[in-house]
Amino acid sequence: MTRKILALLIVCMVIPVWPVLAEKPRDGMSYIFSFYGDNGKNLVIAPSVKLSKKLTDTYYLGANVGVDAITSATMNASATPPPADDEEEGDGGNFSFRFPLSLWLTYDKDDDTLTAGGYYSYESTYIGRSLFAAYTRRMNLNNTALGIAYSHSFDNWVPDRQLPTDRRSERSLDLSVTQLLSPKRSVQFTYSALRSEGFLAQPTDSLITNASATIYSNYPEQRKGNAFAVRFVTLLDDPTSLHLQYRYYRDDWHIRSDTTNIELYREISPSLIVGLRYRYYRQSAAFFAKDLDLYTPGDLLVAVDYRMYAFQSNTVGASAILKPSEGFLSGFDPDRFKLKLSADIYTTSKHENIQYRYHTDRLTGIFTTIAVDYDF
Amino acid sequence: MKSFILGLSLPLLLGLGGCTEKLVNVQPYEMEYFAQDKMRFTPLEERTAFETHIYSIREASAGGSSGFQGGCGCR
Repeated sequence: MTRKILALLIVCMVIPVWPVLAEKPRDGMSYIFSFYGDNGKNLVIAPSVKLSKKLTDTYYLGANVGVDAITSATMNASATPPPADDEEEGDGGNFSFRFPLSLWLTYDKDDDTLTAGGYYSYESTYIGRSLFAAYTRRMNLNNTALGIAYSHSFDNWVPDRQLPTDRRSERSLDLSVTQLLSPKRSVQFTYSALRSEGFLAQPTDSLITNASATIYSNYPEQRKGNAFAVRFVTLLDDPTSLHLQYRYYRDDWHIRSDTTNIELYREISPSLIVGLRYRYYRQSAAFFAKDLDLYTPGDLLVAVDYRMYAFQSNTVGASAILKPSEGFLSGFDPDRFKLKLSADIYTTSKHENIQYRYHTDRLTGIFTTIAVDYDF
Repeated sequence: MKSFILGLSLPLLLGLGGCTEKLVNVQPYEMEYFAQDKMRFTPLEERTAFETHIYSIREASAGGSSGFQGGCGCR
């Protein structure tokens, strides 16, 4: 009890005073096209427009609106796994659409930035709603930035079958400290507390047991997770920078994970920066995950999704940031226009649940982003 | 609960402690490199936002970045 009171007091002291995002808000617009596709017939095509408009010297209005065309999130509940040779009617054959909208207001004055807003998304099987807020305080002649961000979602499934509850909510609290170490080095520490409640499995994940009974995925109705991350950026020489990132995650479902990310950026010319990245991820299994052959209709907790099991993944990618100077972009103002391109290849380790669900040993996909930034 | 308190304590100590002088490592006239895209923590923020979504679909972990999370039922 004493610890809870102490934590509550600290939260009350910190929330009114403290911050997360170290950078000033933009006065501009971005057009973004994102794509993800993999050998499991999952596709995400997501064009969007992001606006951050300066209203007064201190207030900015932000909006993000888009359309996500998805084949993986809205499968119909199926009592049998999709046949391996079904090219048109399988999971990847039916696009559904999500319409996400975010609105936020930012107050930025001197060393303080406060942002608050809301998010709403609609798709035929899921309604997403969330409120979020973030506060950043810059101090020590902009050498230090402290941040706090909080978001709370109040979502609802619209399932094809009866669920124990249609509700799903998630809360996240992010605390960060950003510190400049030298004119060429900076570091950022972040702690995240994640809390989820409601029906947390995918309603469509099903399994045929050895007794030919169909059972559906079912997870505990609560989940508490914590993540600790550190980022480090250093200038190796004038045109090249090195980015290192490590994250440790753990939750009360016994999932532990390590994520390592390394990126190199090199300024080839005043109008072109190219980047390379490698990311490695590994996780352990949830306490209720077991071999698919061992599940029976009497099991209360069932995991079909490979994400509840131990596996690894690798990502390699390349990127480019172009600013207009000479050539085909010379008609644009170099201080206002930026084109950003990225392409990454993602692959998991082999897993029997991937084989059962997607009819392939491992998932291998590509995701790309094309973004055009224009500052007013 | 311990980790929650630890997470809160670090910025609290930095903010309330009298160590601000020692944390000024870079003078304003020395900050030119941090204005460059390649020195930002997220040079490609659109990729970061999208891949955070993709990783929430493909992996069971989350967090560790100071950003907003909307509900999509992916995790």
